[in-house]
This record gives sequence, structure tokens and C-alpha cells, in this order.
Amino acid sequence: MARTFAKISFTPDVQAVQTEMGSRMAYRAAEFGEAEEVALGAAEQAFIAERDSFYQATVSQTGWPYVQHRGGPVGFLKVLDDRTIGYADFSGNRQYISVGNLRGDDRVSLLLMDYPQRRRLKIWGRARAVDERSEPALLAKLESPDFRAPVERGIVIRVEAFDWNCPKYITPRYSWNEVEALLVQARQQQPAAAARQAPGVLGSGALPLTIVGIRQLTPRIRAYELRHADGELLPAYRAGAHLRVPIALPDGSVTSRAYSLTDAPDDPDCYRIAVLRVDAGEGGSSALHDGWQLGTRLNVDAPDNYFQLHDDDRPALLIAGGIGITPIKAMAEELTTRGVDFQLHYSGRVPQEMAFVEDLRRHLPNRCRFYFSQAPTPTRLDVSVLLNSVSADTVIYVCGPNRLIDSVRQTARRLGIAEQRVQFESFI
Amino acid sequence: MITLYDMTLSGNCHKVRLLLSFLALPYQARPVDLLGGEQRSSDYLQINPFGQVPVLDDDGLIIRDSQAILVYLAKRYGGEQWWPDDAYRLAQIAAWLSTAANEITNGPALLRVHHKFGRDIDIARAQQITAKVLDIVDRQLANRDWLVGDSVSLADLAIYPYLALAPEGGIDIGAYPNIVAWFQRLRALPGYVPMPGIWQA
Repeated sequence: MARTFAKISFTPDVQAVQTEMGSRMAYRAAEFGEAEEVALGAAEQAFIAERDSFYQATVSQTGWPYVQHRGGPVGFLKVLDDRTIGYADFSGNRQYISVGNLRGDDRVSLLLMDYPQRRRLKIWGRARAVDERSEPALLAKLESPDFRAPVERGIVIRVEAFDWNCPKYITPRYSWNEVEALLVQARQQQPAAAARQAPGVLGSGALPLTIVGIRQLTPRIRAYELRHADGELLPAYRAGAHLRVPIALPDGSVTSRAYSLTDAPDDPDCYRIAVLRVDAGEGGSSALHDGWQLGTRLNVDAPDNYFQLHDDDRPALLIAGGIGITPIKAMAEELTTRGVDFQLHYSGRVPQEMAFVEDLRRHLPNRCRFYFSQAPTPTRLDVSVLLNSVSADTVIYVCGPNRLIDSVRQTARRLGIAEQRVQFESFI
Repeated sequence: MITLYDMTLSGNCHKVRLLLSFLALPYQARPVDLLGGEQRSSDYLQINPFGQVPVLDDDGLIIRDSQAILVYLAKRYGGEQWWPDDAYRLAQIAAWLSTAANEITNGPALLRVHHKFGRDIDIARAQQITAKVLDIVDRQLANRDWLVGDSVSLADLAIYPYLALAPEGGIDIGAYPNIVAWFQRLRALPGYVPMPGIWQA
């Protein structure tokens, strides 16, 4: 059966070019026999209903073609029946070229584009203008309820032929609304993707914790506040205790690290730790910094303590190097609460890189001394002088780099201080 | 005692939380139930007739508006680093406070309100404003670490939260490398605190 569009558009000149270019044989079949009965099928009707614009060509009195872009809300080009379409003619620039052309020649050619799907539909037909006075009922069918531009007239087109074309050279383009729809889709997929990357709960301990606070202490040290995931009280601990926490590494495996609890154990609601990011290390601390966020859930074991503070009233000498301040700060706070005499000596490179310097200065002004080895005017902790100056019953606690711990232990041995009076915890 | 009438998910509250933390000022947060409409209660309207968070109560002195609170805290507690004496520098900071109240509020913050809380907005306009302000901030930060001067200032704090929350408004902030580098500098500052939904590396 012949395709009507071919009967219309394969004119003798077009056929001649097809012959010259060698495509005539392929297209001839489209013209054989009786012309088909033209009717817009379900696919065409749906496609028309989804459009928010189309191009329309008319023929002028002088034979010039005139192509116009028509736009409106989605579905403004309406299917009235399977051979009739139409649209409301919104007030435009008042040149009336298309409408004028239709007065002399009612033939139109429409091009309907679906850029994202790379589809297009061509429609040939005969058009007439409909106005409010003569055919108000028909005009009413062409109005879009949610688009209130004034309607001057309607154009009704009797469809004579249509044809779907090859998508080869259609560049996909997207309207704002289409982009919005894609973004919504992408956003809905995002949480699922994030969930795949970060498992909901890290670790397998019996104590469920949630990260509820994060605070940058220095450029490389970050403090984390952890609370019971169900709002319950946390197991008690004593200064010097640590918490072993799970960390997801970038390769997907889960490791764990122990971090001292930094605060006096007087708040049963929360644990606080401070983590130094060591980029040259095995990746645990950097994965923790990168991976732990507000709301991250961890299952841990209750805190453990290998660095016990003495229970009696003997005075204490607290020595911290760098991030070793974390258990020492908790000890200082607990001793303060208990009213036990102590001194804190805290050494590091420069104050900006050392956690809690300001806190300690503010809260324990008379108990703390600071040493900054890389400051413009460097100050150094002299372990011999320090250990020589303490009373015979003072208990000594040291936490920090191994060389600091070794120095304290060797000096103590040299001075005849009993080993049980020197408590230490080392950080690798 | 300082009380902050606060809402966890508010970027305007977060800029105040950031400054309080940078200044190491102790304060108590008093959550305002925005979803439940507490901001429209007569009690709250007495504190802030605009019915907005944040509001700061410093020993009975009430200050509304996040930019105004930043100014108050900087001038009262911040010293020269946060409240410079130089007229020109102060004017530059004030200009960014205006940008925070105007373009940032009507661009990225509004898009976030739409996407996260479903408010009906003029999306195209908000996107246009957002694209413009992101482009300007990104260029501003091309050859400098901070928006004004050589160190972090109120200008950075006023602009930061809603830019770092922009991904929640469907904005690809990764397309602005200078802004992302600035995020990283800010996050490394002692006292920095994050909030839920804020940009992560």
C-alpha cells in the first residue's frame, strides 16, 4: 500500500534526484497501489500529546515557504480525532504571517521533535483558523486549562499524511523540565549508591554508638563525640581508658584502632576521642577522618584501660608529647575533680598543631606547662630537671612518642625511681 | 550565658555555630521546632518578629538575623582578627554579608529548601542566581585563600554553609574547584564543626 506522505512529497523533481542518487528503487515501493487510509495511531497520538513545541511551515502567496516555531505547555497541540489536530493560537507578535498564508493556501507541514529520545514526526495537512464567534465550542477544546495566555483563535489541521524519520542526526537536547526530572531521578538513586559505598553500621561490638559531633582541633586533629545509638547511658570508664573503633578502609575492608577517651568520665552520655590524621601511616586515621561523618553508626566494645590512674591521694606528674595529650587530659580533669595535686607538662612542635592547648590554659592555668620545640623561640622539656624536682611519692604518667617514653623511663631508672611509679602508654 | 535559638539543619544557624566554635565560646543550643511551627508561636515572635532562626540571647541581649549575630560576636568577642579596624576591609566583609542575605539566600539556599523540604519555588530563577554567584565566588577564590584579606573572616563564614550545602539543592559543587579548595581550608581550621548534609570530600 502506498504511503500518503510519499504521494505528497515524492514529486517528479524529487523522484528524479532519487534516481540520480540511486535511492529511487528503495523508495518506489512506498508509492505502489492505492493510497493508505491516513489515521493517527496510538503512537502518533501519544507523541503529539507530549510535545511542548513544534515547527510549522506554510506557503505564502508568492510561493515562499514560511517556517514558524510554535510553543506552549506540554500537550497544547491537541488530537481532536484520529485525522484532526489543532492548537490555540496564543497572542504573539501580531505579524499574522502564518494565518495570512493559510488564507491563500491551507497546506501546512509540521515537524514535531523529541530531542532527548531523538525522535521526530512529520505531519502534512490542511489548516483553517477557528475563531471564538463562529465556533466557540471547537475553540474551547483547544485551550489549555493551566496556561492563561489570551487565546485569539485556534488552528485546526486535517491530517493528510505523516511520517516518522530516522533519528541519526538528532542531537539530544533537554528542556528545563526534562533536566529537572533527570535530576530528581539522579537524586533518588544517590542515597542507594551512597549506602552501597558506606555500610550502615561499622563493627560488631555490643555497644551501639552514633557520631553526634565533630570538631576540628588543629589542621590535622579532629575530635569526635559519640553517643549511645538508642539514647541510653554509656558504660562508665576511668581516665586513661581507650575505645577500640572500627574504620572502613578505602579498599572496603574494615580495620580498627584504639583511641584514648579525652575527657574526665563525668558525662555518662558521651565518649570523646581525638584523632590525629597520619597520612604517612597505614591509612587508618585518614580513612577515619574521611569516612566518619555525623550520624555514622559504630558497634564497639566497652572502653578498656591499660593506663590506670592511681586511686589514692599521691600527687601525679603528667607528661604528654603531641597527640599523647588525649589520655593525659582526661587524667588531669579527673585529678582536678578528685582534688588531687598534679602537674601537667605538654610538649609538641608548635601550639597550632597541638590539641587542647587553649582548653588547658583556660581551665587549668596553674597546673600546665607547655613546650614548643619548633616555635620561633623554642622551649624544650628537660626530663632530668623535671623528674629531679618531684616528691618521692609522685606517680609519673607519660604518653606520647616512644623517644619521650624511653627518655622518661631511662631517666627514672637513673634517678632510682621505682618502676611501678612510672606509668606509660605509647602511640605508634 | 549565651543561648542560640537553633535548628540543626539550618545553614544560617550553622554559620553562627561555626563562629561560636572558632571563638571557643561556651553556649547552650535551644532547638526551635520549625517543622512543628514553633517559630510562629507568640512566645517566639516576641523574640524575633520575623519568626526565623537563628536568634542569639547573650545574657538577655537579643540579636536576630544570622549576619547580625556574626557581627555582634565578632565585635564583642572576636578581636582584631574577626572585627578589623580598617574601614575598607570592614566594607568588603559587609559586602559579602549582603551577598549572603541576598544571592546566597535566593540561589543555593532556596534550591536546597525546594529539594530537601519540597517548597515550591521559581527553579529557573534560583538556578540562574546560583550559577552567577558560584561563578563569582569561584573566581574570587582563584588567587586567594579567603574572600577578604589573608585569613578567614565573617565573609567566609556567612557564605560557607549554603555553598557547602549546595549539593542538597542539586548543584554540582565539584565543578567549582576553587570553592572546593576553600571548603577544605575552612574544614581544617581549628574549631571547625560540620553539620548534617554538608559537603564531604
